[in-house]
Amino acid sequence: MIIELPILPKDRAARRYRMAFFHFSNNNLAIRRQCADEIGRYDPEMRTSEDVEICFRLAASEGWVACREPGVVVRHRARRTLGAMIRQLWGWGINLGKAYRKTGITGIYLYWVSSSEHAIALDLEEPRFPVLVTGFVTVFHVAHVAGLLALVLALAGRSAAAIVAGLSFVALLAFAMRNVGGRGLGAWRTLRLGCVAYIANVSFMTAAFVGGLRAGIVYIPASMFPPAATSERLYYEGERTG
Amino acid sequence: MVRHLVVLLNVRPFTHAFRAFYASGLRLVLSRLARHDTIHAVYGTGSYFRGESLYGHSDIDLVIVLREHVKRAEGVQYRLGRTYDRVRRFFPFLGSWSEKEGSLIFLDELAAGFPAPVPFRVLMKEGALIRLYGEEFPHDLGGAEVDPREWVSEVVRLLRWAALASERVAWRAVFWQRMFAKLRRAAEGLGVHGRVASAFDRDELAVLDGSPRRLFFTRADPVDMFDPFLDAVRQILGEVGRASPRVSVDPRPYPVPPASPSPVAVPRFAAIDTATGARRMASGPIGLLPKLFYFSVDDEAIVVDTRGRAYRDLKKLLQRMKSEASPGDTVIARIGDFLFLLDRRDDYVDLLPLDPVLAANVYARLDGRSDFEVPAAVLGPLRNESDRVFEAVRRAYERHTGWLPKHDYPAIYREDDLDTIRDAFDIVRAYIAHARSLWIYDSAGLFRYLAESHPEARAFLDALFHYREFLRGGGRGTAPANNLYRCVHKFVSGLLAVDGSLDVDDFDVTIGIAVGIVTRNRADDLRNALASLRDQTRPADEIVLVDNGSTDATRQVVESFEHELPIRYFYLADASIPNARNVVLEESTREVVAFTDDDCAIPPEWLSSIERGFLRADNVGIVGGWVEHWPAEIGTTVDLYYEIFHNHKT
Repeated sequence: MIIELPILPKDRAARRYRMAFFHFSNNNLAIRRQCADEIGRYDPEMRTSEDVEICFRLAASEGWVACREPGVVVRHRARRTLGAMIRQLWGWGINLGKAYRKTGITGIYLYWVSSSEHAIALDLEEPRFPVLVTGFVTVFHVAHVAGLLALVLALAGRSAAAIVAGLSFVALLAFAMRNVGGRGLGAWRTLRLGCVAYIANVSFMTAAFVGGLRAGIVYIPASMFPPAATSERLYYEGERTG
Repeated sequence: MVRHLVVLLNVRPFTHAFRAFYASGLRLVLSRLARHDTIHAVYGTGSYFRGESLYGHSDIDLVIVLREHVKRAEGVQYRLGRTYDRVRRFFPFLGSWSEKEGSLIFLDELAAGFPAPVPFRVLMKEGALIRLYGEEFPHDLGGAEVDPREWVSEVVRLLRWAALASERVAWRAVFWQRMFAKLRRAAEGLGVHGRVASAFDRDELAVLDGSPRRLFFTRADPVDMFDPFLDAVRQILGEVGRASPRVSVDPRPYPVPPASPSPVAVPRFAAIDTATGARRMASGPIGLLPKLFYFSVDDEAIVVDTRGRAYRDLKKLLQRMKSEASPGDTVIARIGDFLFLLDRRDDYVDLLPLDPVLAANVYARLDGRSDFEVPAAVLGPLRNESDRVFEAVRRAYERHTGWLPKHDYPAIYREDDLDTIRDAFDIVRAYIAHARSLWIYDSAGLFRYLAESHPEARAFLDALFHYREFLRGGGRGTAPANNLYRCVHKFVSGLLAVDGSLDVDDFDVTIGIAVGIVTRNRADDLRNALASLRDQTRPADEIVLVDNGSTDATRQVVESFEHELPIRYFYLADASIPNARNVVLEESTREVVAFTDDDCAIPPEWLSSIERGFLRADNVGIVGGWVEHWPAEIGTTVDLYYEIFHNHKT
């Protein structure tokens, strides 16, 4: 048996309040009728991310479990234009906050996602806080803080400090997006791919952040780097005696 | 230079300073580990805890006992390892976590009836474990004295440790001094110390005389040290065989004894073959104890004879296995008349010494004999322990039938059926060898034997055998039955029970599945999706199609499929997606609703896989999988982005 954890959690007493819920995408999800009756149907309020929300409820339920089955694979057609891609990623993000809000959890749960292992390296968990503040911070976020700092310093007339901050913005961004390169695409296509990936990430993360604020929580989603393949590390082989 | 350092370290204030430094390192490890709520107790062992010399820190070992709510499958060991390794960066003397992982005790497994690991039992009974943190050990370890069977395992463990110790450690004379001391203690425990004294008295070992303080800085070539060590082990085990009355074990082989091994070409591991003239040993059980991980070799094992220095040969073989063998390959190495099992795992090579007492059957088989003798003093405790293990295994299988445990954090189950079948039948094979004295040599023979002795389960075994072949062939096409996972558990728990029933006639059942699709203005894509639903190996019982206000040819596409597929068509003027999906849930009449989208292509085994997922247990609520990228005809940068970042394959 392999237990697949959505993201590597550290063990603490309040494990119910783990912020990395799993979800299956709705274009490849089968649900047992009895389970749907017990945990509830799709929430009509969730115009998108309704699959995320129902999976959250399953994770919080008493007895129900989820299985990933070999052979349950669908091939999905991607969006073809930049505009459609931005709309899709915006749609993925905008209602995530609502799903987190609906769990009723409050407190501060911040995690630092290590860029090499795609696992939680540091955490801050404080359940005694009236609203939910949660997020997965990566190098991608830090790069943007540096960028913002560069902007502020430049406006304040501190040119030397602004240059340092600006250079670290570029360096951190290049580091965070290093998975884009090294595919033998050539400089021009790599640059274009990098721009598309950057736009996709920023649209998703902005949407999720804005959606969180609208739902009354502070939600900082993880950037989508590194690509999904590296999350193989998160599968643990369990006891083999059945 | 080193000599000067020794002089410096011998000065008393420095000794105290170093002790304080190490103590603070240990305290840091313990306080970090204590942050995990999973730990019941932490024990320490090693010369440091006995207040011995300062240079003895290389043998510090920690044993971590985990609370009863912690399951091995949750992967706690990896999280503890991360904590440990973070501290170890500053305190290298503690040794890496990978060396410690065997020192984790899961109270959950002990409560289920599995015996505590032998090394832990020996250390505990010897009083070598000092509780550093946490509560008392809650279980009885079966007597206050270490029994002969435990000592024999301890000797084997020492041999494995000596062979696998890292270079940094194995080059220190103090390491070998300690190993020989431990071995001598085991010889005393076995009561053969007087008769093997010469093994500890050899000229080569003169270098090990002296204080640990001095030997810490003395280099000892492991090539020279390992041969006397292996020789001492052989003498001790030989004396154990002579000291106790021997019981002849005459296993009945099924169906025929394996042909005596002959030199043959070894296809999978050719380099070993050409270098050393390898031969093959037919598959069969390894050892007399149900070692759950290493019990049997299913395909033939490669047997390698070497004649050089034992240590060098072993290291060379390990290195070769690592670079040339593929996961699952097994080699039995005969080094100085002693057998070692080398097992290539996914990312490392494991080494298991096969001693002539606990693995007497393998020695007999290599000599072309089918009968063998085992000292009675060892066989008795071994049989008791085996009985306990089989009972615990039976209960574990029973608990697991039809119900998957719910974890208290979000987690997804993934079952590898090939693994499940292999594990289950390793256990069955071990059980038959143990309870019915019948040696079965390969999986095909096992299936044949079971079908003969349990005719009521013949149909199930046939289906299972074909399923195994199906999975080995990549798992494409039509699986022979879909409820085999649950039935394997039922079968094993039934077989291991004394009067168990082997009632496994529900290995091929169906569960009603409705496919739910919500579509809007994608008539062309929908045609593809419906066509792939038509080609399913397990047809859909019902297709609930909700048209969410289409204005194109959707209706016509649906009508063109109506005579081929059981489609029920609903038209909503303008509903939200969740509402449309709820309509599917309302209108479908089947037990399971499988959602997909109009812009997806579905492989033929999609529905049968979903059915298999739900049949695994009654509390499987959601079955999902992966979403692969479907490349466009004209590759754009956007398409490339999806291909790299949103392409989740198995």
